[in-house]
Amino acid sequence: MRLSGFRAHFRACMGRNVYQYIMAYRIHSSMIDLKKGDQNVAFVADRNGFPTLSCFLRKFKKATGVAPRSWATLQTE
Amino acid sequence: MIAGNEPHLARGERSRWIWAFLDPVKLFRPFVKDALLLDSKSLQGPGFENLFRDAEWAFLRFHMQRLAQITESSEAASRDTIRAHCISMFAGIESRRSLDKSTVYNITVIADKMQRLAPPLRYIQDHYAQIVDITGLARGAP
Repeated sequence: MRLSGFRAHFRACMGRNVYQYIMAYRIHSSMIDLKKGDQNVAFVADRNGFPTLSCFLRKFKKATGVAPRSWATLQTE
Repeated sequence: MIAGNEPHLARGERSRWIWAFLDPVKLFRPFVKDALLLDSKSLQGPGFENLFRDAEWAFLRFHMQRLAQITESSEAASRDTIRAHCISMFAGIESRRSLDKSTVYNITVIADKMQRLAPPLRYIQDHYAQIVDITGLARGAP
């Protein structure tokens, strides 16, 4: 499929673009790691493909409303 | 899919039974406007034959096995992958049962669209932590 057609097709089917989809997938995977008890946030960020820790913190907070460590604490309470 | 200790008539060494609970609204978003997909009338009631024979319904076995693998896996399961399998199953069942050709057409079109995205979605699921080349993803979509 051509790139332009693929982008449009992906957005029409998934309701978001490829980049947003991958980012949502990374956040979701990070949540699973944090829930499993991985408290090292930098390690979780690196393992799930975030280029920097600050990028991870920013994206995670935007998605969930809280920082990763706070989110993990809420899950265990 | 039914739990392993559930009594059933199709016992056999190779049978494996699991319950699966899927929220149809979440599952079919952003297709929820296509209410046809949420209409389960053809999948219930006394007229519904719930034993699918492998010879005639091989595609169901394929999708159910993949769903079982996904739900049993500890990896991050993509809602979109689950959705693609479910839509493919429902479209296949509907296309064999429904007499309403427009219903079949609508569901089949959606299933075809999702099927085209299946290779890129699988690739993302396996490589989401790496830098993903979108041009390569596009090449992988038929």
